Amino acid sequence: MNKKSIVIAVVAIIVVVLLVVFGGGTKSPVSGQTVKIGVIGPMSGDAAAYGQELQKVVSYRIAQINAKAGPNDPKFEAIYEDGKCSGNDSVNAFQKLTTIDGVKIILGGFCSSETMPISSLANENKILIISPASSNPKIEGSGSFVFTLSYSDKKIAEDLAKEMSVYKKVAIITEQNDYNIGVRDAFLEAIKNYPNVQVVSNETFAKGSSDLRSLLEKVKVTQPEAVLLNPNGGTTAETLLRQIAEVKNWSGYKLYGQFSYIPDNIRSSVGTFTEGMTIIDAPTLSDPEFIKLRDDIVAIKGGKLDSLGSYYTASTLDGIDIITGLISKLGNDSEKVGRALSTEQFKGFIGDISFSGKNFVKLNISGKYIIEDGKAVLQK
Amino acid sequence: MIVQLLIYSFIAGTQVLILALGLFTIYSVSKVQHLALGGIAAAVAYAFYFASHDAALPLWGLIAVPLLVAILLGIISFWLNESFTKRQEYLLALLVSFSFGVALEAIISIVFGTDGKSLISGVSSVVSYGDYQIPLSGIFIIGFGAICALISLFVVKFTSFGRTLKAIAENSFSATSIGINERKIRLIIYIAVCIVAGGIGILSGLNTALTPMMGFNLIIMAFIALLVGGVTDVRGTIIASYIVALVPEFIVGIVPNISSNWKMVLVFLIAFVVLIVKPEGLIANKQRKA
Repeated sequence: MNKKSIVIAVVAIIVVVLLVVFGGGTKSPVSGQTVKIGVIGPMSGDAAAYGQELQKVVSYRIAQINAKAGPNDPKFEAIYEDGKCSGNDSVNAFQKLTTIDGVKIILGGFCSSETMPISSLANENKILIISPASSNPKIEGSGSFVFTLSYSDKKIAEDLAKEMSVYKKVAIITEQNDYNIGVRDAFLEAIKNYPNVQVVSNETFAKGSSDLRSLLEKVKVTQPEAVLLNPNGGTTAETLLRQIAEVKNWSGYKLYGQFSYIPDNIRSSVGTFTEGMTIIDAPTLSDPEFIKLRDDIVAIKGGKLDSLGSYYTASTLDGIDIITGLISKLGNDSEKVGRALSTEQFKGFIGDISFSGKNFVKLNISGKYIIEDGKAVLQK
Repeated sequence: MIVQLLIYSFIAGTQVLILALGLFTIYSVSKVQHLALGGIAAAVAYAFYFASHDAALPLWGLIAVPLLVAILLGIISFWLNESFTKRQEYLLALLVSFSFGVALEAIISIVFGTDGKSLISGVSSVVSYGDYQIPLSGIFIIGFGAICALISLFVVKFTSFGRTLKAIAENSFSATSIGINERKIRLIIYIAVCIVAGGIGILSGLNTALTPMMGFNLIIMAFIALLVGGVTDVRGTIIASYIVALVPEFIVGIVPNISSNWKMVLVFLIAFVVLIVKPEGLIANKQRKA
């Protein structure tokens, strides 16, 4: 073999090796691997209903993606951790997922109280977090590793303020919780645009409180014409409603609420008391493909998805789709996936998804619901 | 508004009082601060929830299941604390008791979940008088408190068992030397106090909602009331229970736009001021010093 042949052979071997290592056509950078995705949500606690439904949606979608995966595609495994809608528990969940399970990308937290405390950790450790539901406006400016597919509470609060601006005296009752404090602060800011409206009562109660009667007495004496109920979901939201309904000598006010009062079971214990209540939340999604998918999840996983509602069910599905899609394309690399999230556009069930360098997805939508015959009916 | 706030505060104070009286009674005969009473109150309330909702038992079941749980927890409490009482290791007993309460709350969370439970469906009944109203569950709480107080007074003042209790409380060594079976008396007291704590747990659940941690705030308030009132005179415990419940509730109820989180800060301030001025508590029996 002459020198020239040897050089050609060596070059050919190098080319083959390079093709095997870096080429492979459409072969994924994580081909054949199982990639772990962390999921943080309130699996227990007052908001457990959300976490349990979140788990159903994620497990269904991951199973569907894995079933469709080809031999060169990665498989995905969701690892669920309980954030309990609390900062401490969320940080513990984050630490466990990243240090023990080696997770690089997390879907969550679900609550703002879960997402906000782990934002700085995510940036420090270059762990990508994508929340399907955290809506506290303070998430904006949380750094390049934090994204949320939720609308901002600012939009909800602005719409609530607009709806309530027809009254002269309004009151707001808030649970001490990041999500609710975010709504309260944005509402108080937005209501300043209506100089005829006076906030006669702005009361806050400790997280998870169950005896709110003294607080309600305080609100009652200010004689508001409209009362905005702003608790976190679950039993506390129900207890607040029951104890207001219990006050027999207080009438002549209209009730307003946010997403906590969308599930029918939260309102059912007070009978017709909430008829006419106005709720501002994300709009109900009516895309037939999404409706079918949601019905399939309910049929296969059982139970309901009432707490998540259509928007958060869709944002959870979109979160999983975007994460798994980008990992398949770019590898389990939080920096690359984060950059793509920040700059690219995606089609999702919640609509066209883009972040354009922001933490919140670009959205300017909300839905107005009125309670009619015990149901939260979306107004056209 | 003030009268209505007083009514609500009185209901809250009575819940604290009943647990504080339980703490006082156990402390009197064993010198142990039985902080597990909060967890016991919650556990019995959840047993009631199980009997009424999950098992849907008839009336006898609604009485028997929580009663059996209370008796069992009373026996366990006695068994846990008795050896420490004998060895006069009261701080260790306090720690064990506190841990037992935390463990009970964890078990409740595991079995029933941490989301709250409602014992009643629908809106609670209220009794109105003019502009004022009181929840029916609040009337039950006050009534239960009054009955417990009357029975306690009757037992202590007019029965031989009461005299035996006083003898153990004043000097347990002398009581033993004259043939009093301290162990048996303490067992009875633990069981009785756990039954009463369970009763207030159920009533608190009817008044608001059940949560695994429902007993924690109550027992902390009751413990502070016991310290503020003084551990040697039941009158101090009664007064302090209403002070630590009423004053914060009232201040937070009157001052507009402050968070109810301030209640515990105010409770701490009350305890701090009282214990600085009167370290032995509001009312203290004079003890003979050697």
